[in-house]
Amino acid sequence: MSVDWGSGTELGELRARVRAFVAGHAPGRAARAGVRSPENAAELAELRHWIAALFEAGYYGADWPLEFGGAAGHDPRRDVVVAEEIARARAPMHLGGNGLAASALIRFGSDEQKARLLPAIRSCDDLWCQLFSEPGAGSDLAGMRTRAVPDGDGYVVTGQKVWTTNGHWANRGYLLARTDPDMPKHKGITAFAIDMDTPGIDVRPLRELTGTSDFNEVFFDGARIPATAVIGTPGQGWIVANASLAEERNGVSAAVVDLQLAWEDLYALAQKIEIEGRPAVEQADVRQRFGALRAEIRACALLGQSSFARWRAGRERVIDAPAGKLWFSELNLRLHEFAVDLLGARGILTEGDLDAVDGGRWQDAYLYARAYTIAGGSSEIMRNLIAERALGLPR
Amino acid sequence: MLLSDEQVSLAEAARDWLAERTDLAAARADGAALAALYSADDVRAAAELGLTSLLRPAEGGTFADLAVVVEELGRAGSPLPLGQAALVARLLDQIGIGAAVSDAVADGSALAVPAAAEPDDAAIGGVPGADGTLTLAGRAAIVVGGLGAAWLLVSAAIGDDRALALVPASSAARTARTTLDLSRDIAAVDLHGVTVPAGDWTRVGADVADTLDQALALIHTLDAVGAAGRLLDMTVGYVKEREQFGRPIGSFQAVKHHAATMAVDIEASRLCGHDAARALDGGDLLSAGTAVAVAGSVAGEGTSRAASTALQLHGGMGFTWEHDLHLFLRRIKVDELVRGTTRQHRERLFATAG
Repeated sequence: MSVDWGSGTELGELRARVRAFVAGHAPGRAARAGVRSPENAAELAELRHWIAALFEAGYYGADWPLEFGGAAGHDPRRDVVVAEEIARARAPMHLGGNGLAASALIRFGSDEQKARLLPAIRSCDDLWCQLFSEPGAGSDLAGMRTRAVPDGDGYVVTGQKVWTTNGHWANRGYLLARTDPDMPKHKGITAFAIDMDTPGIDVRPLRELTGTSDFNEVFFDGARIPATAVIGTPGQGWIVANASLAEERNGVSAAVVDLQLAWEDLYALAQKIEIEGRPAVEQADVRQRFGALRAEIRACALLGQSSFARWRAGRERVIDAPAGKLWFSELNLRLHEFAVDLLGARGILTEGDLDAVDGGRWQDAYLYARAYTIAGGSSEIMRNLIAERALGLPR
Repeated sequence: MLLSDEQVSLAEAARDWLAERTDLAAARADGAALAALYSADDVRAAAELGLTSLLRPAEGGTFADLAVVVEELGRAGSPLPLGQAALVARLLDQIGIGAAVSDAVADGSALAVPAAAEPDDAAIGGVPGADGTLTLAGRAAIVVGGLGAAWLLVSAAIGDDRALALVPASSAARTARTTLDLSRDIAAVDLHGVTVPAGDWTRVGADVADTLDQALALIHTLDAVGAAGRLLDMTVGYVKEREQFGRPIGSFQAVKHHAATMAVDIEASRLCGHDAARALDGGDLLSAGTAVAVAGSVAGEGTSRAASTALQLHGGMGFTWEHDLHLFLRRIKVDELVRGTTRQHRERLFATAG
């Protein structure tokens, strides 16, 4: 089927090239929604190979400094096309931890750190995990309590991190820890690039409501890390972290492709479903929901495109990123709630049941959808941001 | 896809001018006569600013420019049907009838608006005569600007063909409607027995007929976006000032979250509206039809929800007749329901997939 989803970034020739590249190199389709961890060593090896190939072909890392393999005169619209085409093939995206670490190192890392760490991100020999959230510091990230106490020519780290994607596979960690408890909370934090095999670090997989293990808890018990691990300067961690998070620009355009594919698949599925003895697609409420969702997916694309265009023109506004994040995450949840409801009683069957529709894909996506409304700034935090910083309401 | 500097200037000029000219107190007056809403002088002044000629092919006008102006009309709560008038001038130029009327609309000496049946109503019929005339039968139940207009551009069906006919408004039976909307002139127009002389009507292709339908729908969507933007400004201003429990109510998270949701709904609605305007400029009827339906679906729900939230956040103040809030809430509901309801837009989006 071909649904008219409206116009976006064209760059037609590049798009065709990327599409062919993805078809030739990407590992098999991901069975599950969202950002999921490799389930075994073979999957991990395949993933490393794929990401390295994207760097090698210049589709990833083109915005890096030239000496580390970046391209001269890089057009950031290319990154959008690459992200969209990877999503369209349902292939795995850039590893989030590697992307964040790279942007932090490029902006704030020392020459020694860049020379040592960036090549291994390109080759995907290194796998990074992000060590930000804590059990007591989620929405209030700056309230983190993991300490890195200066000690001789290094630091001793004690505390606990959580929601660590790929923590059980990673050999490097991008850590935020409190180095000065006497400073105001945003100012006493330092960013570090650490080795995950440092003694005193214990990684324990966390099983989520989906039944799968994509995240971890990471315990630090007197882990000793060198002073050369500091990214930027001591006390600069909050600025480093915010700058690297803001670099995640192509998320919405890839997410829109995911939504479009899900809508199209659900539309095809609905042709085969009967409700009360009549085809679902002849029922007004079903048609209305599909129509509304199609419009909302287009609105999501426009929010992403407009925010990207504003950024390129130097006219970015506070509302842009949180509005896109809110719209996508809540729409994604609505779409998958609708999918499960549409299946009626069969909607309860999950992966493993012989009669599960599409192998339980819709139920997994329905459960996983909550990751998006909570992670990366919950919907409530997004609304606070918009109200306080875009609309100017008093704190 | 961002507004050009020229479009930003156009919006600012329209906004300033409309703020000076629009008298919302008149809308609140019981049984306000049309004359109280706007004058011939207002129309002339709008034309001098170029607002009625914005879409004429010779002026290089675009729907993207018109979108900016229509949003400001909604923001001001203006009674002036300038989007509709600009559309008539464009269509007359395009189909080659009524050159004098098109010029009169562009210079502000006369106002002309489209008269078409609502999407769910029976079309206005036309029967061609042997002498080249066209005799009309039927009714346009809702014509925005219908009382103040000197001319009507009637969208008629001749069997399966479509036609546009230019008729003097005085030749039709017009009745002022009592509607939710207090800020605009809305009439029912009965065209039974109106005979249009040869030369004042023509059969049109789907390109013209669909453009008329789509543009009329989009004018209401963008009007609602502007009106909702005004409500957001009013609401943000109010919750910063209004104190309860010793602090501004805007400091309460329940209030903040409502305001943020309004802002996001309006932003999404605005983007969809402007995208549809660009799609109309692009000239691909199917894409434009989809984009207009997307805008109607997202903004129909989003702007009405924003209006409802604005009322809630104003508390008892917003429930009073004297407050401007209800004028915009009413206007937004009318924009949602005329020239294609949210429901119709969604049905179209379902039916045209695959």
